[in-house]
Amino acid sequence: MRQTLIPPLLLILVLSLLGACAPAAPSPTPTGTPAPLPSPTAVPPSPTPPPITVTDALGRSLMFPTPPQRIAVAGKGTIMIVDALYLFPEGPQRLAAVGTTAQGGDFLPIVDPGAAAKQTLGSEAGPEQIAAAQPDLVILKSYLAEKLGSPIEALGIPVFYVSLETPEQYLAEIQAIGQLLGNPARAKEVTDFYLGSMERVVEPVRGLREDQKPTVLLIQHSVKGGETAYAVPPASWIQTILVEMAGGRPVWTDAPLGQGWTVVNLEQIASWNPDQIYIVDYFDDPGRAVEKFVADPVARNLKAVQEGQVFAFPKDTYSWDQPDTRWILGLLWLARHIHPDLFAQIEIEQEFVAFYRTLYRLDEATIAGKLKPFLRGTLP
Amino acid sequence: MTPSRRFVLLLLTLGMVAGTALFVGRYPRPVWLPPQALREDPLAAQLVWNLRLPRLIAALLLGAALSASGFTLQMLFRNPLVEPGFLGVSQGAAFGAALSILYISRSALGIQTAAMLCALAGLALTHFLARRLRYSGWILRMVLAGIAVSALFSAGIGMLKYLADPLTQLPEITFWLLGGLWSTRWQNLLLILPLTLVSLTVLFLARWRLNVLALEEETAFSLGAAPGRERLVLLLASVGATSAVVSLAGTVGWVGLVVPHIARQFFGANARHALPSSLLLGGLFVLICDTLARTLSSGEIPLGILTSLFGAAGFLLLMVRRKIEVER
Amino acid sequence: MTPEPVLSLQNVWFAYPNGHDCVLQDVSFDIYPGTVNAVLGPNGAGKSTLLHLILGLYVPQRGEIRLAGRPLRNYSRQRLSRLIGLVPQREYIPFNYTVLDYVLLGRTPHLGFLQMPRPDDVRAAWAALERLGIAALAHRYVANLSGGEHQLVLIARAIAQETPILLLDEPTAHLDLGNQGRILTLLRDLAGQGITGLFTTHDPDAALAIADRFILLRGGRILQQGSAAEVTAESLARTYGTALQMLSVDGRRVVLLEIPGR
Repeated sequence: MRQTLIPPLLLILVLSLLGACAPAAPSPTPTGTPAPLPSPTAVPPSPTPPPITVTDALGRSLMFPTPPQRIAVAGKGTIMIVDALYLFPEGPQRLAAVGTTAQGGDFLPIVDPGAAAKQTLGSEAGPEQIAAAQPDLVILKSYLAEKLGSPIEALGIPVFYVSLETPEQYLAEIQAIGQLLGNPARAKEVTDFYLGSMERVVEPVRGLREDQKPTVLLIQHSVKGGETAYAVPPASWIQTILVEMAGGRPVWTDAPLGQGWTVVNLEQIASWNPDQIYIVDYFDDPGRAVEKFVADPVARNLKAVQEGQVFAFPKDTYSWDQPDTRWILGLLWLARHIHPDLFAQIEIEQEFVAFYRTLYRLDEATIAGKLKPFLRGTLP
Repeated sequence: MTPSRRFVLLLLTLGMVAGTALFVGRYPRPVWLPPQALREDPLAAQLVWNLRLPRLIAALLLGAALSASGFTLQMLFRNPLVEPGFLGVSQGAAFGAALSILYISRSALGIQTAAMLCALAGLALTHFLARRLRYSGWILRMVLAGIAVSALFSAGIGMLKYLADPLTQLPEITFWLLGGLWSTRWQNLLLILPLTLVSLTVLFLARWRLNVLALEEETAFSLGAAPGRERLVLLLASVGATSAVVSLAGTVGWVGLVVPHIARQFFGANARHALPSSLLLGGLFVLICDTLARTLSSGEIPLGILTSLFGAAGFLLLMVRRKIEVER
Repeated sequence: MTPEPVLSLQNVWFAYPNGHDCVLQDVSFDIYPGTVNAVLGPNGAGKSTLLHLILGLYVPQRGEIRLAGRPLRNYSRQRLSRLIGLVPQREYIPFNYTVLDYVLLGRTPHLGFLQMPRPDDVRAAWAALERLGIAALAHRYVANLSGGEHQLVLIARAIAQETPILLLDEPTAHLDLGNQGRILTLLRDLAGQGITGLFTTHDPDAALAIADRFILLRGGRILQQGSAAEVTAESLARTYGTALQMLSVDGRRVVLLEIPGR
């Protein structure tokens, strides 16, 4: 009887161990140094362009004789990198492979008709799958350096790291991306657009005293396991930076315990009792989250609720509060709500159209027909 | 001190702590809410009656259910080292919840039902596996089988997390594995109340019988028990209580293991006194942990972390101090 | 006139569900009320199994067991537990009860499913403890007892159960001489009060001291059964498969093991 039990027991033990171990990336088999692959479709390059030298987010210097023609974007947060790439006309053409995304996937086909075919990588793609797409460059977020970047480089494929988390990083790294794609002029156009909008916000706010800035709370609404949770972002994240830039005083900066969103209960919110509350919702309509919040019998006694100062943070195909190209829209919108007297002239609808026209070269018809239906949030 | 007097003392302590906890929190300032604010500040009144009070009751229920369940399982399996978490019950409940979120239903009722069924399956699997092992003593067999089944369900949860749509489903599943009472309101508390109270009542009333069922099969039989059937009833009650509270609070560990031991230290091994005191002690323990979880910092500390911290520390302490004999 | 047997086995055959050999083969005997009966046999003869069958824990594949004239299977478990009590050979207890609580467990057959022990039950438990002379142990913890004290507690529990029939599996196995004497005397006294005792033992002397009837078991079969007077040195030698002598000392018979070389 003992003999017949050992195989099933072993099987169970092995299965348990497998389940317990984190999925490990397969070890890369070193190949020789592969030459850059021929480009399938290429923008006709200018005759004998100079070699490109760029510095990535980790401070490493990379050199390319010609602009890379097959770019793969992998890991988490791919949509933010792709949105940055698409700021350039070469972007859609040079992008060869990208991972599937949770949020924001609706935007890609609008700018790039061939987007669906490029979404060949899984969200947990390992170096082998990425190499199978035959890229000559892989762009990753800098925190993936050790886990994903090193194995890919061991395969002989160059990796370019980006952070794209703060406004400063955006301004710097868009220039680097412009160089990568061989279009630094466009990079300047983009950064000028950002700088201009930023100045419009930062300048009027510069002289304000602390007591002239309202206290602001920004929370993410989500439903987990059937239960509602409100969470605040870490102080270093772009949400906090945007609120400060727009002339608000974030109340939550002492809360977050970990590296990510920290759940806070209604009692703590009551304890802060901020002047304004902004509710972000990544997966559902933030407007409904706001309705739910103000209807809550406990929340009804909060100052912000009683004065009608609870707002839904806008989103179209992607929420405007995140470290994506749309953060500039989030900044303008925040300024409009935090200091309505200073920014009465900001028309969010117009900014929305201007953003997509200038940065993504979309015409008004496309914007109105394809993007506007996604627009949600408190829009004055 | 006789057990009855100790019990009354425990009851009084619990009442006092609960009453005090009602006024502890982050509003208007950490830690204390002056009682007169209840009359003056409508927000304070709302907070206390609609936020703190249901959460307090939920904490008491959670602790009571996990402790009673742990106590019962320890008796039924004649094994002082088991708790719902070790036997694949908590993992099973979490797995059932994840499964329900992904493929069946996202309603609270659906999740609770799936949690309970899978919790029962986990327990059955552990028991079956332990019986088939011809390895060593019963205690070791149960613990080994429990570890294997829990690991199996964890792997299953990992699988479900992998398959889950990170958009909507993954954060829901992750919530389960942390444990917390922050979202407790009267509605979701009332939803778990029937199953929990019924199960706890069954366990409480049958506490003498539990003593008998803890004896060896032949002895229990000779004393007139129908071991198979009666065990099943108590198991169902135990798992029912556990999965109901786990569906509200997520997986919270160590309570079901440590509290019964503490109860036995002070009230003796006889389930007649030790089970009710487990109920009270468990409620007290989780109440204190949850009050800390919502007061210590402006962000919520996951409840499971605090119960594990204090629970494991308590367990170590008990093991070390076991040298001392208690003779009444 | 011979009284009706209180317990009667007729042609009982039994094998365990996952075993292959028949543990008991064609066993038949009668037990009369108010008598002390001893089952002797070597290790593995099937003595404990016999007790389990009488308890109703297992059902024989063939044959019948009757209690007070009715088949055993017609009795409800609760009724059975008020009629037959068991003192097991040894018991492992993972939790540390007090002796009093432990003996109190013996009152369970008299309680409903959800009932708590009443003062009468506590009195019965105390009475049992005193009868065995271990009242002083009442508040000691069971895990701290010696093997012999433990065995006395098990017997006390069965006494507290107040059943007319008492089954004991090796009741004197761990006891010192003093306690052996106490138990054997107790069994005889109980028989005098009408309580029927059936005990298995390794020790022929103990059996010879008090048993009215003997059942000699070997390899699952009954070699001999009958009154004490009918047991001879030969029948015992055949049962145990070893040479021995029987001596008579002051009218009492004792067994002398023959060890070669002396």
